[in-house]
Amino acid sequence: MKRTFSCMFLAVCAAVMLAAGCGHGNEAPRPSAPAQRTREETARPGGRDKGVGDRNETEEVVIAAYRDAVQGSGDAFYCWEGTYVWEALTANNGGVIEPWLARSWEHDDQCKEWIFHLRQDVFFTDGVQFNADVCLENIERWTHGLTSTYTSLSVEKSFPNLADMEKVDDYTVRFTFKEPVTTLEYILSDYGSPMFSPNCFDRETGVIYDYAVGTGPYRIVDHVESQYVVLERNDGYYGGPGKVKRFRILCIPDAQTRVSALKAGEVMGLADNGAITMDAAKNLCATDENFAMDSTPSHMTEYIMFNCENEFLADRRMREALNLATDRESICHVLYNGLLEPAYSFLSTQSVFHLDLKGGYDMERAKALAREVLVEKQADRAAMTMIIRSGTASDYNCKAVAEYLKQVYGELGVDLTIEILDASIYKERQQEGSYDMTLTVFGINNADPTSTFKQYFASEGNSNRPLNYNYYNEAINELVAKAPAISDMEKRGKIYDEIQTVLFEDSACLPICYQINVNIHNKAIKDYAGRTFGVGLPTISWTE
Amino acid sequence: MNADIEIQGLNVSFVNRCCVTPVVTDVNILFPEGSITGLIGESGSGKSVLGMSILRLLPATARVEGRCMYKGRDLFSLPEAEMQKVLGKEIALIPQNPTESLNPVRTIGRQLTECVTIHEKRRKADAQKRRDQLLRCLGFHRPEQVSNSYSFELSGGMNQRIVTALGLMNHPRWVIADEPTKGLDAVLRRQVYQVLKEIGGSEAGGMMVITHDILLAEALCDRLLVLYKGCVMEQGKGETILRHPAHPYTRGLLESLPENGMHPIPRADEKKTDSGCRFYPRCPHGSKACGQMLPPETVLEDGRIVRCFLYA
Amino acid sequence: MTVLMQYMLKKTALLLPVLVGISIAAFALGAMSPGDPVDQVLNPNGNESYTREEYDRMAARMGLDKPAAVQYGKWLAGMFRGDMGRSFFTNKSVKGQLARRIPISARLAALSMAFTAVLGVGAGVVAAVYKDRFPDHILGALSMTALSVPGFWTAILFIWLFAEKWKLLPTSGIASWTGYLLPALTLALPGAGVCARLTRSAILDELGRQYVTVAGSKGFSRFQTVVRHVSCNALIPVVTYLGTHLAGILGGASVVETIFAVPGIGSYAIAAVQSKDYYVVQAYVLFSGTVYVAANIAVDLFYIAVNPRIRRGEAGR
Repeated sequence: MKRTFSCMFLAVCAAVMLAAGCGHGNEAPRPSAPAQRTREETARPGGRDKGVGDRNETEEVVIAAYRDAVQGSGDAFYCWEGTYVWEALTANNGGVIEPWLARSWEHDDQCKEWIFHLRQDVFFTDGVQFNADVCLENIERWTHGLTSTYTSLSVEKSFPNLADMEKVDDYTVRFTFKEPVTTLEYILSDYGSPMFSPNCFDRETGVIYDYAVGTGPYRIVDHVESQYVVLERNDGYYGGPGKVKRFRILCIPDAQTRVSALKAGEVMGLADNGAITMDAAKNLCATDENFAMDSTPSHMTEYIMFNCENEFLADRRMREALNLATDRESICHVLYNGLLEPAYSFLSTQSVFHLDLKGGYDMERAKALAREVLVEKQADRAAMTMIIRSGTASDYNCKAVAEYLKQVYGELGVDLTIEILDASIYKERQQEGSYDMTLTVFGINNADPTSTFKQYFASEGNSNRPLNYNYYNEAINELVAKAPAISDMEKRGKIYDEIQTVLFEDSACLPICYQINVNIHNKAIKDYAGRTFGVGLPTISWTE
Repeated sequence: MNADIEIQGLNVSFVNRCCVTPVVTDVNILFPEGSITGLIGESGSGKSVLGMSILRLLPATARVEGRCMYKGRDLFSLPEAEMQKVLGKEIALIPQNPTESLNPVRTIGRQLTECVTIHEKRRKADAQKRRDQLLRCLGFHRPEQVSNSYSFELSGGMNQRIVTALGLMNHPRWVIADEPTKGLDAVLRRQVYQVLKEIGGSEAGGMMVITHDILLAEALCDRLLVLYKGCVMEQGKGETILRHPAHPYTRGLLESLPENGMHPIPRADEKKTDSGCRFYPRCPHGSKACGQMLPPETVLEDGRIVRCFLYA
Repeated sequence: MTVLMQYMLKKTALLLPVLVGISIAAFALGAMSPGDPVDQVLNPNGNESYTREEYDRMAARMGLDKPAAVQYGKWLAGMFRGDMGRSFFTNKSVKGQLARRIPISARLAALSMAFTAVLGVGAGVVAAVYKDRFPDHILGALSMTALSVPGFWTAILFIWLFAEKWKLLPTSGIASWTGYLLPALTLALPGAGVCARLTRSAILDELGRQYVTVAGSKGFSRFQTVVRHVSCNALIPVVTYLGTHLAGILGGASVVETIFAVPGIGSYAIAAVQSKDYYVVQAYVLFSGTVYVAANIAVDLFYIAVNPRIRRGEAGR
């Protein structure tokens, strides 16, 4: 037995030494090393590097994402917006709505009639021109109950309370609504209004044949399911062609493997949600100068949501105590390496209506408040359960935050039990209401804050009761009812400010920090910038 | 070249974690070329071990000391590859437990021909001819049928004959037959005796027959060795030993035969040690010296060698 | 009809009730476990709300508003027609996905089996022949390590070693055939460890038998004896193990497939189980069950082929 163990030990040692001894040591992968040609295009013409321009034409840039960039015919959107294949009427760029396929729009005072003026110089990659007819055909497509893994797509969602839509002239469309819609341009942005060539989908079912044809700067030329997509530049793009001729987006589901691929030089960059964790990115850039990190503000925010049916949490003072005891600055600085911004206000910095509130960290006052509530309820301590969805915990480092909070809230007399649950069980627990608070991360897809406020904090909100937040505040109900009717953006903005202030003062929920999207790339490519969705493919170029 | 087998100073013991057990002690034998020698003794006397040690087929736990001279070479110190050339070709084995000795998943024919082809690959056709010839000699009228069979399809007696054929395939100079009649009834025993007598003589050179069947040894063998607890008590011409046994053990062995009245050898007396003569605890003639040291081997006038203080 | 054919027919006929049984069990488990596919479809990101009507409408479309027994019946009927349904989320036809993914998993499994068999049996034979000497000790230690180390750890180690450091193989993906090597090796190691130990003990068992000594007496070297005489008998337990092992890895090397970005049936199944994609899970269960039954039949046939006692015994009487 002893001999076997010593042999095992020797064997492992030998293996490790062998591994460590051989190889290239800590040498970083050289961007143009021959070994990475497994996924690259055929040799360049002429044989010698004639400069960046030449390289952009002949060498494809390979990036990796966690999912297949093309979901296929069964998906309403066919492919990820980050492929730059399809475009929408408007674009949400960091909270600001920019014109896209619609160059301008206007609405009447009651916001019941909207007119969109479409661009006149846009062509799909199959030659069809984008115009009002095409726009309406696309909207027609959304009535067929299409589903998607990205987000839902339906006429009801994109055009709530639509009464009628009609073509005014070849490049103008008018929408009329039964109820006022104040933020239509937000709702239609990005995934709100994808436009495809009418030749590429079936009129009856709305299903797209292979491949989707859009108006974007790139088009799909090759796709092997769950493996890769090859995109080629649309040279006739109205906004000017992208720099690199070909992109290949690989599907690598495992986070660790993605980083390995990056380190090995097989891919030049990572993209899409959760491409790489903040820690991993920071470490890699710190240890290896061949990589650069890029972070863009995400629309995701980390919150603690309360179940206000809990006897202690129903009392505003207890919630405020917890609020004051949560030191956002420390959390962001220590647990998130200073990469994130502390959050006090419900709307993230990505929202145009974000109100910059500043909260305080006051442990003494927190203890005092908590004691008050405990004494009144004649309890020594309060026991509470915090549930966290396991996917969230791993993606956003929530476990560390939860442990920290457990410690801190313990000083207030609140004994926290932390449960990290599988997604289905988490949902069930939420729907049953068998939890007291949850640490969660979500974003507000729909840039219209009214529906979001309503959803979470109004008494009849679609998430409030069903997910057992059980928050009841008359002031909020009133404000939320008022907002949709006001068409003037400034006045509406004031209402949103009020709502945010009320939520903040009432400690309805505890925003912790505003998340960022981290993208990382090999310095062999440059101008790799994150966007709301994906990275800006058209701007990327080889460095030398 | 002289094809005698001469064993000098053979000691075999089995080694395991706790102790070392001697199984064969100080054996010195000469097997003259062409003779048929019987190794007789009761169960546990070490006869099989002795036979197998010549072939170097003992399990790994066995420790062998001494020399075994054959054709001028010490078989015990030959390299493995060299020994493999000897085995089966010059010195062959007719193993005991015939059914166990045959591989149940290979045909009889294959097992027989490989005796030849392992030594000379190209002689497959010759091997098959030889096999058929031998099988006929051994009483199989349809050698092809037997060759296509498996050991479990044949009877014990048939397997015994086949196993005999195994030993004889290569016309070896020496055949060691290990317990050829163990567990067989009288009819089969007679069959085996006949086979060994006729064919053994013509097809092979010398033979060693390891058996506890004294009658078989009497009928078959020219020379006899009597073993008791790993020591050769008496060795010499078979006739002489059986008519006029010299060693007390031999006497006792013969008297215990049913034909001779079945007088048992007395049980071992615990007070007497067997660190000297192995038979001392049961010997009616034992003296103090017998218990202290191993008696030397004495040559009697008629050429026998006896290991007993009575003759020292 | 020969005995063999009768045997085959009997075994194949048993396949059907087995498959029905496991599909019912899988369906029941899926229905009972937490999670709601309708909610998942309407709310993929977790922060979209929907009305009761929308929920009901989607449930009706997905066929999930009917009672469980009816749902199962419909699915079964569809199966007999050859229609395996569609995924709730991607809308891709299950049959199409299986047709695409099964060959990939099959390739991975075959390569992995080759590694397991060669490494395992090879190591076992060497260890048996050199019993209690240095090669035996070191192979024993290696096989112990191989079967204890978890797959994902090995995977990460291999990727780091072969792809990042030595740049011999791709980190992931099956764009080139070399992409199959690392996942196959990762999958093969635990099996090879078990196989080596099994082979070693099986051979040693056989080596204790009388006919091995007799083979030695004919002039066979130890190695020749092992290869020619012993292997047939000794390999019976080994092949039994390999047969069921193959069934296991064919049914889904989920972890390895996910780590190495191999779009096979394992990763498909795991994603479906997590999102409660019923039709996919059902199809997967059927496939997996069939593979297991087939593997068992194959092992039985192997016994018959290799062991003449069975062959001759049944036919002779």
